[in-house]
Amino acid sequence: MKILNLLREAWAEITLQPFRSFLTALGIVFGVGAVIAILAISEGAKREAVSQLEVLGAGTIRVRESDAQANSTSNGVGTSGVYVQTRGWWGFSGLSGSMGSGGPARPLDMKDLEAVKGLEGIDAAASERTKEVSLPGSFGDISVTVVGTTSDYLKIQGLKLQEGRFFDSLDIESRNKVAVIGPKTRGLVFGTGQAIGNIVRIDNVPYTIIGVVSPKDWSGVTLVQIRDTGKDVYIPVTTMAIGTSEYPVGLNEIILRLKSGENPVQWGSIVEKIVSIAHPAGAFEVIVPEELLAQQQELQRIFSVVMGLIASISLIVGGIGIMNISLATVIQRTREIGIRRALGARKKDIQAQFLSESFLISVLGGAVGIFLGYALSKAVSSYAGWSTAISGVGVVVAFSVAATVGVIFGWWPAKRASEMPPVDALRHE
Amino acid sequence: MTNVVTLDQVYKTYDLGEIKVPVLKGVNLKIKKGEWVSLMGPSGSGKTTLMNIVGLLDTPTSGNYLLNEEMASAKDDDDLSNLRNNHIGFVFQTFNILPQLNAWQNVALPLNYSTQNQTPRKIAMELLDKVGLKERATHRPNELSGGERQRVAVARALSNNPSLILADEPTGNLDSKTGKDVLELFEQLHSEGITILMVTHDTEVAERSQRIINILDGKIA
Ligand SMILES: Nc1ncnc2c1ncn2[C@@H]1O[C@H](COP(=O)(O)OP(=O)(O)OP(=O)(O)O)[C@@H](O)[C@H]1O
Ligand SMILES: [Mg+2]
Repeated sequence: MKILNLLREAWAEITLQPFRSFLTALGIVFGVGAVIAILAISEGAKREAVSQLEVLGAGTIRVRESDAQANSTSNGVGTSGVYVQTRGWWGFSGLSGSMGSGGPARPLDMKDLEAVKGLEGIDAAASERTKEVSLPGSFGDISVTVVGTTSDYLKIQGLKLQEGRFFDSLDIESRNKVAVIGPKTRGLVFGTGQAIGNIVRIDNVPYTIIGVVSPKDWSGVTLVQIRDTGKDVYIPVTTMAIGTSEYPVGLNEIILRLKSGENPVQWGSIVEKIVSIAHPAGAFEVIVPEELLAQQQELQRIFSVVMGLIASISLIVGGIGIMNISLATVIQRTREIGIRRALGARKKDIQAQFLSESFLISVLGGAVGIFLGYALSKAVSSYAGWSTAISGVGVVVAFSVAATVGVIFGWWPAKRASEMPPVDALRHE
Repeated sequence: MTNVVTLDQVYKTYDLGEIKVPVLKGVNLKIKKGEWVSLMGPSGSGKTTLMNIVGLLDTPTSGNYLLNEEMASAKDDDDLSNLRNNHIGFVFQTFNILPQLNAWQNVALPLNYSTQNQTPRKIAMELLDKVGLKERATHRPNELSGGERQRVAVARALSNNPSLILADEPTGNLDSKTGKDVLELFEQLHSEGITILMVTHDTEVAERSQRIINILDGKIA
């Protein structure tokens, strides 16, 4: 008998008792629903990870002063304060620094940058020393973030220039009074007029604008607290320190970019160890986006494992349900089996008939399960805030799983049906 | 004339473990092509047992069975199924048509299992026309009377153009009027040259056939 014929007959048989068929397929419905939800959640997590890393830049490591110190640095480095050790996210740094006898922690500085910059896995490094200042804009004063940094800053932050140039190492060595401004700063201060060549005064020091940075959308990044770079003003970090007596120059943040293929987590821990030598009291944290992502995804992975368990149990129970109903059906339809055999059905025809019924019931259950899984993943994403994505692969996998369960658990009842001696089957009342 | 059925010293003993029930004890029978033979005998004498063997649904304990002069014993299950499909049409006392299929689908059922490429619907409609049920083609069995169901069963038995029709008390569940209608159908088939073996308890029915054989004590008397 042709497959299409078999499926048509199976369909007729299934729809003869739709509610019973639905109950039979319920385990498959839930199992496939769970499979779809798992795949949607892990796919969503993967896509979110990819998009966040795209914005942040893969393989970046940020060494940041911890929060308690942030105010003191931006108000001028060197004021003493109570520095709190922030536990590194891998948690081995502990609180011993601030609790111990090491004295107050020192802020990050250019020496730390020099210490890690030369590491084998590091491609580039940049400093960040930030300070909020007001600039006179076309519509009154505007507050901007002045960032003292080094020449690799754009490359590391994934920023591009829309006008002019960025300062180079010569500008930094010579402590030139040059500035590169963000797109919003440019708009607020100069409108549509000429920016390059103009002067901005920061703390009464005149800086010549040599470039303007293009906008970059950081809004998708939730892993790391990150400033909108639109209202930045970049000046050489060395120039920024003029007038303060501090040496080496204090920093809020050191941003490192790894060579491609290097492991961010490994290098993150090396960087932490090196920086700790100069800062035994801590007061800094090392942020590796990849590690944070992994941490965030750990939760989703646990969820997936639990759902996976539910899925497997559902599918097995669903399969047993199908087997159970199939066996009952075979007994119920013994007479029919005898009739079909008398009319010339071979054993394999009978087997194919019952197998296609359990196959079709599973696949239909799978189809319903796909909708359920879709609804489930939507619910999870709105409740837990995880992004989810239904992939074509997921649907194919779910369908195959359903079909396989139907065939595996339908096999034995179908086999039994086919092995029934025709005479006995015909005599069955 | 060729023999459609040849039974040679056929024995059938049902083996119930401890107990052995000998039913057929050396049956010899020849049915020629185009013959209409009635099989009679008391209840439990082995008529259905014999029909099952002739219909290739069961195998003799010993002895030979030739269908169309060809050895049927010792064939494998698939071959027997194909032989049933191609050469034998069954009509049962209890009609045995499938309730979930309509009239023409029931008639076309044997064609599903045939290896030949056929036009099931067309053939089924022609046969329903032949048994006078053209108008009932899409009716389900529960919408048909007993006589109509049995005529659907006869049409089904004809669908693969068999060389032998086996009818086990085809009028047993019908009143005398509808029974007569069905018998007329058999008479028509006989006149078309179809070979028929029919079990009946009714001498009146049996007398319509050409030859009556009696089974007694496991043998044909
Ligand atoms: N599968 C079986 N197992 C054991 N005994 C059986 C089996 N089938 C039939 N018999 C026995 O074989 C004998 C003949 O049965 P069969 O059905 O052939 O009789 P019958 O002539 O068709 O009777 P009836 O006229 O009542 O239909 C009976 O005694 C019956 O009990
Ligand atoms: Mg009988």
